[in-house]
Amino acid sequence: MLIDTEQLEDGSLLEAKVIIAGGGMAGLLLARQLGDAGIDVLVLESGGQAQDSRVQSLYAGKMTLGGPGNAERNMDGYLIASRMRYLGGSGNVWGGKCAPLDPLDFERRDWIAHSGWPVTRASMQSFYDRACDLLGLPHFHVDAQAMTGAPEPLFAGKSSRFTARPRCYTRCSGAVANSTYHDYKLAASNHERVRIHLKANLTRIKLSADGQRVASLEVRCLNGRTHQARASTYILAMGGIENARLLMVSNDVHRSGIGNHSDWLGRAFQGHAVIEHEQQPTVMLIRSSAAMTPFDALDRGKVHIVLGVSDAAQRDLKGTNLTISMPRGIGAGSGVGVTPQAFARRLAGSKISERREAYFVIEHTPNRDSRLSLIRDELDELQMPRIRLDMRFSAAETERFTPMLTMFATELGRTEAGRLQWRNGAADLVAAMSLSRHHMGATRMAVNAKNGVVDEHCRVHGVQNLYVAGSSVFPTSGIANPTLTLLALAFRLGDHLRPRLSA
Amino acid sequence: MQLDRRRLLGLLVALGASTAVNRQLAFGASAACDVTMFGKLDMDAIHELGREYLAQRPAATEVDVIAKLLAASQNDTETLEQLRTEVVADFTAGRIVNLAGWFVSETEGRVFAALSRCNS
Repeated sequence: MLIDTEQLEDGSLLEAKVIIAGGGMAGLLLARQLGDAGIDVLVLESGGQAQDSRVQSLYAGKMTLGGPGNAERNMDGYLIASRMRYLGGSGNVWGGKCAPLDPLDFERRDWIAHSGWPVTRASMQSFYDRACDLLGLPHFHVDAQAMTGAPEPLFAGKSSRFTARPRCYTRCSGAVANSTYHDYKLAASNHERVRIHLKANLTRIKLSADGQRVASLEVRCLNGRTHQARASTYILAMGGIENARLLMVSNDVHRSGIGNHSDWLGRAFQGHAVIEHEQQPTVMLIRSSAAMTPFDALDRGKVHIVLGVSDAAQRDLKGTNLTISMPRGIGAGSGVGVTPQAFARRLAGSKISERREAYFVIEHTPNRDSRLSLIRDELDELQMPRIRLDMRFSAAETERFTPMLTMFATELGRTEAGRLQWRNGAADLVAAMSLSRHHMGATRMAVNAKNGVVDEHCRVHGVQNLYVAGSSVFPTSGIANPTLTLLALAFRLGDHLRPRLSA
Repeated sequence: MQLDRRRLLGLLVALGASTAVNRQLAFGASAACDVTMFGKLDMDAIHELGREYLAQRPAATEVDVIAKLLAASQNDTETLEQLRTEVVADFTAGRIVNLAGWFVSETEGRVFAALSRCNS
């Protein structure tokens, strides 16, 4: 059921067994999950059923992007452009690319500060499978060959440094033709146990006097009316930035914010950066064009692969995760753009070659200085402090990128697979970044409150009835697009909550 | 680098060339500038790549060795195979250089540099 909250009388009380703040992909999945178990669920969604610039402007804030030795970039517009505030959330504009995190992404790596999840890749497999079923995808295996039926073709077993990583697109994403995402939203809004309050903005979480339970929520509408919402259990599913913002804003009892026992709230913000440069395209040469077919990403229904730095190489080099996507061939070039290619082909005695567009995605490792904070003296229309995001890459990324790229170039040459063109240096890395809409880490998961904001069940440390869903709980972010993982975690959270709420 | 140079000199011997290769051939505009063994190459691009290599490695005496190798070549197939072996060895050992954005082996860079001397 959809309810226009602006039509309710001022001061209304909204009640349910569970309240989920945020009607995006995670929130709607959890609503269905719990509803299927006979639990009454109320969803608070800030927007309506379509994008509205006034609502969207509630996301406005300030943002900078930087890294050591790199010029800082002002990116205020990213805070509005990288997420959607209406029913369906950012799923409305999601491109649909899916991949699980790699096994090593979950592990504690002693060369990467603050790495390690309280769960393993193996323990996530069944939840990943359910997320794939939900999205109409084949189940992901750790081994790409099991999905594609062939070994990684570029190096053909001659390199232990790189491995194939599978990727697949779903039609259950708002940005694609013949999208099924409308049905995804309907499955929640038509559910007999689910009430979705549109135009209902969660503006404050009110804790009990002892700070150990959520007592109620303050809900505001843009027409000036204020309501109260009460449940036995509360789930924040408002996205990787707003989840942290609400916990920071709600500081009536815990002065530094809810769940902020060790100053992790808002910190370790991570986002995937695609490294590319319009004026200096990353181009590579290969010997065999046919070998590159598994890398083609044009057929959305087919599993394709990207190259990833192998777990062994990451360990050996004490490196970060990095992938190289080569989604399509590009036309013939001239001059220095192709001469090394022609020369190498001649030496290798090859008669065929292909130029491929290539781009790199580097892992953004947890960094306490990469953080969200509140701008206390700048309030939005709902009197909420606006957000500031200082997204910082560290030496872990800037100093490791070039060696890892050089390793790729070396392997191409050593195996006579091709050559790589990439002009920029470490000092140009931030300038060459194109940020994804992936917002991770600001309410990170850790068994102990010393190391994070939520526990391994996504419950906020120290608060008995408050949970967080979405990619803000990721301790590390790997390379994979986060949606599949956040849906898998939503299934996991649903399984955790159902027996407790049904009892 | 010295080991590298010795290996290249060894190549010259293997190819039957005298160490007293005609310098005009090695550094002039005749045999060393015969690039037919490499197929069709854009010489403007070669010059650009070669100049960049020399700018990065101004003291690279190995370029002379490569120039002699090319000048002394009497069998294109053998010379190409020798260069190919050197290139793979370079990549294996991590001896690479970035020219105009391309990650190429030191040997490739030296060939570009040697060829860039033609008509210059």
